[in-house]
Amino acid sequence: MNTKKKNSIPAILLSIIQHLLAAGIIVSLMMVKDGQSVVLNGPEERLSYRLYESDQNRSYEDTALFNNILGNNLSLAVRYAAICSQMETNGLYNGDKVIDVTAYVNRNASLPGDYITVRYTLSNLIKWAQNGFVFETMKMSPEESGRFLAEQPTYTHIVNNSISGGMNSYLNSQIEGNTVLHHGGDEIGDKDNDEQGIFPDYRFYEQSYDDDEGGTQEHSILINRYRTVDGQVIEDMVSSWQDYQTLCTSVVEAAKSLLENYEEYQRLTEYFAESSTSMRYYIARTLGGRQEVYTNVASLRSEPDPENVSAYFSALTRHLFFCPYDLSYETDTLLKQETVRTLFKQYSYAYPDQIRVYAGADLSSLTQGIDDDFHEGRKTADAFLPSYRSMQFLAIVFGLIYLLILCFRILSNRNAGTDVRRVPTELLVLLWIVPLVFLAEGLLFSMRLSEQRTLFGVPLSRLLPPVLVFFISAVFTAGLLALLRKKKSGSIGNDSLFIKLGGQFGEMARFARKNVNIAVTTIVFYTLLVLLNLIVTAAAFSSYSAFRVPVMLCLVLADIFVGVLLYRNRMHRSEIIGELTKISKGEPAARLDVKSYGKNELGELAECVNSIGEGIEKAVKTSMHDERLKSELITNVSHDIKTPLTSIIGYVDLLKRENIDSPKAEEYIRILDEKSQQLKRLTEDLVEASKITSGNIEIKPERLNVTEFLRQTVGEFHEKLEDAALKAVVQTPEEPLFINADANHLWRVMENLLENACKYALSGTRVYLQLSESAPAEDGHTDVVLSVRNVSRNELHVDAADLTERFVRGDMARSGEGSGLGLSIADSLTKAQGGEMQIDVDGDLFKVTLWFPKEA
Amino acid sequence: MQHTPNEAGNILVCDDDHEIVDAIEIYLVQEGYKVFKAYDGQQALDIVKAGSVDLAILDIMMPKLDGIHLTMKIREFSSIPILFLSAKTEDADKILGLNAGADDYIPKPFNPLELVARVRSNLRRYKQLGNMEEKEGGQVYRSGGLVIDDDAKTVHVDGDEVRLTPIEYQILLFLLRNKGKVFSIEQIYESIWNEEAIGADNTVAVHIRHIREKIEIDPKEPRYLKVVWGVGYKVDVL
Repeated sequence: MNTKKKNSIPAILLSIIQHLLAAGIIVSLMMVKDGQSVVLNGPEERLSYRLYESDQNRSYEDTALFNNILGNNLSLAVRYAAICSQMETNGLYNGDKVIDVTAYVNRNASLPGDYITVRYTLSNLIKWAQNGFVFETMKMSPEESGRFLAEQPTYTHIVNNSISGGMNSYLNSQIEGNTVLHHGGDEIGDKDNDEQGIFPDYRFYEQSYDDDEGGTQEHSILINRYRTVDGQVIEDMVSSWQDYQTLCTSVVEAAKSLLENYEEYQRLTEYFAESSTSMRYYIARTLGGRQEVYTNVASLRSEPDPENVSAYFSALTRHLFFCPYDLSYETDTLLKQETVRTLFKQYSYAYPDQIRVYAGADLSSLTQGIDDDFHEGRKTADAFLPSYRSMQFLAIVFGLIYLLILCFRILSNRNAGTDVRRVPTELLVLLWIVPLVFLAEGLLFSMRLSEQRTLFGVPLSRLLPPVLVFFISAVFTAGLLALLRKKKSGSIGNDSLFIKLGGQFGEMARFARKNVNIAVTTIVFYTLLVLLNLIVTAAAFSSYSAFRVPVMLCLVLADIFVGVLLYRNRMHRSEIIGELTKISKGEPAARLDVKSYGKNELGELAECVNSIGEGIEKAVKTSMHDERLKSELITNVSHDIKTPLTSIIGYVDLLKRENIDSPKAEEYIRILDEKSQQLKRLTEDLVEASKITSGNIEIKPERLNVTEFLRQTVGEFHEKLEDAALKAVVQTPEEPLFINADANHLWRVMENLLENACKYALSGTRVYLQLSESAPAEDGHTDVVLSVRNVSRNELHVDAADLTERFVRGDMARSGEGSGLGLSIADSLTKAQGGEMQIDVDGDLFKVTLWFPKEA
Repeated sequence: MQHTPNEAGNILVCDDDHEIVDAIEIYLVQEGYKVFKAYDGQQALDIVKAGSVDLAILDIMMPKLDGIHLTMKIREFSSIPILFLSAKTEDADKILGLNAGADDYIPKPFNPLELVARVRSNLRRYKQLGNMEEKEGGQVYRSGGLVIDDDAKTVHVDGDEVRLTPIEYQILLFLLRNKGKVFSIEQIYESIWNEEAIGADNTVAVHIRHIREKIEIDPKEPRYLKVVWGVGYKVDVL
């Protein structure tokens, strides 16, 4: 039974372990969750991957993670190669590459047979975009316009603009010698598209305002920063403002796009450098019979033999080959042909069907030391995959142990909760649930916190949940155990506020069933009052009745009346309670004025209280009267006894003086003398005792030096003690002690005690009279303690408490000379002076102790 | 008991209990007094009026005329000592009796010897009232019937010489010389023994008790040497 030591150290340790386990569960679960997502560096941004449980027993190259990384890299390589096709010639950046602006802008669409364009070198366009485009607004008359623009537009014509083999206009325009320039009049091919241009989007530059005077118009002019490869400017190519503005838009768009691609090109060139990635790719495209190769494998850039290329990639850890033209696709990766095809489709302006694509990852020792996403992914996979299951396993084990401990604590939670006995059940449940809800909210919130918020370098989203779970577990367990303890103590129902409330109503209902009148009158009147108030208030606010004011007045009066009634009721009740309090304290009762109560329950109650008070008073009076009568009776009887006793004593004394020869007669006379003397004392003591009990003595307490008093007392008794062969030993403290007492009565007490000692103490022993001061009591007052101790001559067969009872003496046979009243008188007198007397009998040791409050 | 007959006097004893009257008569006659007996108040009054009574012993509760009223009537014409004899022992009864003009109060049942002692004491005091003066002067101190002649080193109580030990004598003399004043045990000790009272024992108290046994008729209710509890002792001024 560990009921008493519920806070023992093992129990505390156990509970801490339990809550730590809970925290452990959440940590391992979070680790499982964390492990599932891997964030790796890409060229542009960090990419998030997922680890799958199914990857657990595979080699890295077969994991979904690896294949996803490869896929992402391939996607990037496809884009890179597309950009390279814009920037490079033979694998090197070529700023002199000629860019057909219109064809470039429309690289994803098709071009008409004749179109207007300008050609700049790649570098010029990039630089132009870097420096920004400057527009100027000019007012021009039609003549000036005619002078500004060319007379005839210059058209470009793509000779072979077929779309076969995945070729589009842009790709076609890149084929050498496939474009021809010619002027407005002698166009070749369709004339349908003439003049109208192909780009409907000229909203930007349609800022020409018709001016009333002479057709002067405002035009937005792009300042030519560079000339075209043919040494011309934009306005040389067009004859209408519409075409001019379209062409300007194309120039700006193309330049900006190329600048972006140029920047990306630089980043990706670095990223795909052979020495910094395990990714290998080789994309060869054939345009117009000429093959261009884009690869990050330097050795393959000018490798003419496709077999060698194929062999190179086959040797890689993993590789794939894709050729849309032959519909061939082979790979030992998990990437599907469809996926790869989709990748290339996005960049159809760069890739015709005639491409051969090799891609792969080289995870061999050649790329060891490269810190790319492949290797990073491998590290993560190696680190996590083996522990993936163990983390789950750990969480389950933790959970099981947790449940085990919880069960154990529930089972060992034996003590019937005295600690929660008085707590209402509902409050306990609230105290249990509310913190749990808050903690759970906090847990959810903390898990959603961003990674950036850290404490001591640990993200709060990792740090807080275990802590919160620890407390959730603690609160949950504590509340559960408290409730169970309460249940065990059987107070779960009794302490329930609802049940209590229900009980109250039940009691009221039972009362109402037995006392229908009270219930009906109370409830009916109360309901009527409430209804009246409601109705009248409602009426007052809604109607314009002429009776409104009088009715309201009546209501107010009624309410005041009820208030006064309630007050009176309360007042009467408190009067009755006051009266009862007085009676219970034994004070004389004042009569309640029953008439003022009226005829109701309180009136009845008041009458009952009055009669109780009268009864008690009468009883007290009778008892006092009886006591006085008794005392008087004793006094009178003893008076009547004394007169004959006087004669007896007198004549016995006379007899003693006669010369009597008979020794027997002498002996008889002696006995007569002795007994008559005893009878005398008895009557005296009897009168005194009855006087004290009936309160017929006068006590005049004064400040008394007990030390001196005791000395005098012993002096007075010196002879008597000596006669009884006793020696008085007085023990007093140095400083005199004072009490408040009536010295004459106290002397009577001491006289009785010492006479008692003389009568009953064993001859030749000592009588100890000790005076001392008690230890201070709680309220600070101290007592003066006076004790008389002696060794009894006869065996004491009586209970110490009985010795103060009248007519009881130590020897029940009542032989001897005492009246049996001595101790009783001493006890009564001591009490009458505010002292206490106690008798202790320990074997033959007889001890009387007196206590009086010490006077300063 | 050495008493000359001329010292004796005429005593009236009145009680409705004949045996008590007879018993008292026996004791008083033995002491040499002449006794007049009466059994009710009226008889007693008549006897006293006859004139030769020196002291009256009266019961309080008597037929025809009770002791209190009898005393008041006697006091109208006579100043003889009157001793009350009564079973009524309450303080109130004593005070009532003494106020009515009685000189002493003897509770029933009484010790015959005490009664005789009180009779003698009262009678002597009454008779000597006239010739006290001659003993005055010199080193004589007195309180009521208690007289100490320091020249002769004698102590008399109601004319009877009392023998005291030297220490007892010195204590009583000290208290009588300062009669009415209360002295503590220490003060008495220091003035008699002339040394400081260290841890004073009850020697003084014992001596006082002894003195009282010798000079008082009833040491429990002393007439001269009184105890003031908790303070000390004194000789009353009488």
